[in-house]
Amino acid sequence: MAAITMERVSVWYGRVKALNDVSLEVEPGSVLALIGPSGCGKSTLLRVLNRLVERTPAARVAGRVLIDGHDILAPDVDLALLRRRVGMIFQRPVSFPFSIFDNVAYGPRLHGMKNPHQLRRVVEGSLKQAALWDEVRGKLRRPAHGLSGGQQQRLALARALAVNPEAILMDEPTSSLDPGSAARIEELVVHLKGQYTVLIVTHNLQQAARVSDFTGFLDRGQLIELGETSQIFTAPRDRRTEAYLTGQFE
Amino acid sequence: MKRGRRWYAVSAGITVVALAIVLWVLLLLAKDGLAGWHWSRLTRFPRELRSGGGIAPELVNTVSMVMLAECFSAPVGMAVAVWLTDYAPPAAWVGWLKRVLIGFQSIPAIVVGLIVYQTLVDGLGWPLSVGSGTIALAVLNLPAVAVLGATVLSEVPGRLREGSLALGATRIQTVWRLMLPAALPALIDQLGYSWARLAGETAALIFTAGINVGPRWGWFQPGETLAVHFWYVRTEGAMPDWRMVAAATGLVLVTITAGAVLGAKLWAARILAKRGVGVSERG
Amino acid sequence: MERQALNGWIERWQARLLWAATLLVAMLVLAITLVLAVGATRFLQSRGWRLGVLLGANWNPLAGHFEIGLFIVDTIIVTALAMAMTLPFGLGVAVFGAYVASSWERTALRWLLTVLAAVPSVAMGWWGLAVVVPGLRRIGGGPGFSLLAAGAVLAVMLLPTFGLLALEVLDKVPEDWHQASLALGASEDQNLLQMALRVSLPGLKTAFLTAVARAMGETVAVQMVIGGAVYGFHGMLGPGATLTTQILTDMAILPLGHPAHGVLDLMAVILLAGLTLLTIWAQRGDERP
Ligand SMILES: Nc1ncnc2c1ncn2[C@@H]1O[C@H](COP(=O)(O)OP(=O)(O)O)[C@@H](O)[C@H]1O
Ligand SMILES: [Mg+2]
Repeated sequence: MAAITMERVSVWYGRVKALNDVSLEVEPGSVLALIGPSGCGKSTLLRVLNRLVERTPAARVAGRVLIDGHDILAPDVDLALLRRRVGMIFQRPVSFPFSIFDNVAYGPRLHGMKNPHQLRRVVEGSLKQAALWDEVRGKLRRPAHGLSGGQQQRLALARALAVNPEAILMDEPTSSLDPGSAARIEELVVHLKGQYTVLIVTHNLQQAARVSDFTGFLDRGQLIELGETSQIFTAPRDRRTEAYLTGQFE
Repeated sequence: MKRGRRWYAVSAGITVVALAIVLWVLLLLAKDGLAGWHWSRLTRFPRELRSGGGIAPELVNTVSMVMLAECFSAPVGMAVAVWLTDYAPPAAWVGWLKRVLIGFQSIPAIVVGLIVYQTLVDGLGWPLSVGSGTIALAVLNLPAVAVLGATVLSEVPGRLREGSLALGATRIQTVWRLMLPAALPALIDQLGYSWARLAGETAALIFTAGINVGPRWGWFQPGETLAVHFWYVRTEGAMPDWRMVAAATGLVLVTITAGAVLGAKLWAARILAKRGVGVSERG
Repeated sequence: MERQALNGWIERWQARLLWAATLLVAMLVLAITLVLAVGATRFLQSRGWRLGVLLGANWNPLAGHFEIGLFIVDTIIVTALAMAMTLPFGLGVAVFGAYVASSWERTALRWLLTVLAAVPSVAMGWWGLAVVVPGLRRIGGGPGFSLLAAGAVLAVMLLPTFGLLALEVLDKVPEDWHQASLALGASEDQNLLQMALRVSLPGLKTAFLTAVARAMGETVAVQMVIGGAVYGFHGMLGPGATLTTQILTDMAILPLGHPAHGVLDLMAVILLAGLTLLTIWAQRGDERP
């Protein structure tokens, strides 16, 4: 569980300003849902937290981001360690063309775990946490690409959990899944609450209402409003938030 | 150096070394070829035992033979490509035919030379000539055009094709008005490369086109090309200035092949630009 | 109505033409195979079907000895030397072009490699005679004309082609996969070695085997620097002869029409058999899910 603080964070892609002076705090072990129209900077916000924005050559970040009090934007930060502590799940499930086992063991192996017994224990534990174990037990040597989309997304979650992160970033994790699979992922998020700090981006407002403790509304790179989920959904303070929630957004 | 990027730095170093070595070949050729260069080499006949020979007939032979070979093999090869992509029944033997063509794409040129030598020269009594050489080049080129053409055509998005058919276009109209235009830039690119490959071909021509030139151009006249002349003069040339002749021939040859590849690439890029497709970020 | 009939007629005939072209090419392929098979069979028959000709190294046409084992061995050695030299350089170029280079460097590298890949092999042979052979003579003693020289010349010749093919393969690794791997805490090096190269293995294998096929089939670049020694094996720094160079050397020497000429067809058949195996191997398991 990690406490996350952003102080006046701005991000530019070349000349385009994708995040504008965003400040927020996330309590350890809570779930923060980020909502807002397409292109408002939700993914960018997540990608600042594990510094994956830097993969875009033109990207520039300003401001301070503290995880458990440490400034992760400092130049001497160990990126491998940071990303180990902050896991990420993407919109389209990503499985490497390896076996199910090798997919989950990928992270632990990166960080030097070689002992096969230990690896097996971690893989089994992670798959159980991601509620995939019952479906794949005894088939760990099969290619991961044989799994359904929903299963692959849970596999991605297991892979992220296997390196024992403190926070998990989820970028529209259910938007490419069928309703049944989406519901299972949602259940998992609720389960993870309390053990991990979770930031979840979603276009599905009911989902945000169901899984999150806090909700933030972003528009054109600005954090318009952030509060307890019940408050945001029942009594938004900003007109733009209300307009978005009631579907009257331009 | 950033931590954990050691192999990136290594790859940059390797790239510099690799490019330097390959460019060494071209720069040395340019240096030796330009030393003692005279434009009259382009207009004179070669001389067997005296200095100052030219490469005019070789130049003409190279261009004419490659053009004739392309005129035959490019349309036929493309016809095969179209048939394979759009007309072939989903039968097992079609798969085999594709596989065999892919295999023949890498047939050694010397083997083609051997076969043309045994059939045309020995069997039919054709002389070592422009004609025999052209046939050898065409045979060499056919499987390559068919396979690469089929690859390019199969990359035309299927929905375009289905859309056209749904609008009532016949299959052949779809091919002419949609598939070929859509694939045109890629095909031009391939054509440039195939031009360069044929122009630089040596092994298939030594015993089909021969190592002599005739007094004039003709189908049954001796058909030495630039590449063969380059090889012959460098390994067996008896003229006093053989070093210069060889390097000059090589320089002209490399200029032609590089010109064909670059010209085709620029042409293709221009067509794409006109269609409003910018050079892609990764391209 | 009439117009429709005309269109139908054109359609039918064009389809027939396409089919005829395919038939023509199929026949051509068949004819090539037949000519080689007949020549090789005639030769083997004249030798009483003793397959020892494939293994022995006694090549002396004037004395009636036609054993081609040495050429097979030299072909394999030269190809292996070339690939061993070109593999690290080609992979380096590919990694740089796909993952390290900036956008304009990548474009420039692609264009440069394409032009270099089209440099005629005879130019590489010329460079080998000018640089590699004298260099080896100075360093290693001996004639300089050698299997090693042939391997080096081939390596330089194949480098742009193999580099370009490998670059395309590495470039096809989806951006999603890179991000997923980096997001787990992989360093760029780990991402490269444990993810990108690993998932690209099937494609890299195909690229590699394509280069092997070109190395095996190359003639003049090898012939110019290998020395053409047909008696016995002289080591890496000594001269030799490969299947292709020996076909070139003897095409006009062995009497046409004589069964002995068929030994060249046999050599061609062996080359093609080797290439067929490579093609089958290259195509096996190359379909990415
Ligand atoms: N790699 C990039 N290069 C340039 N602009 C980008 C890039 N990624 C995102 N953007 C721009 O930044 C803004 C925010 O994008 P993003 O964070 O992906 O929004 P969201 O996830 O909310 O849809 C958008 O205007 C988008 O066009
Ligand atoms: Mg997004």
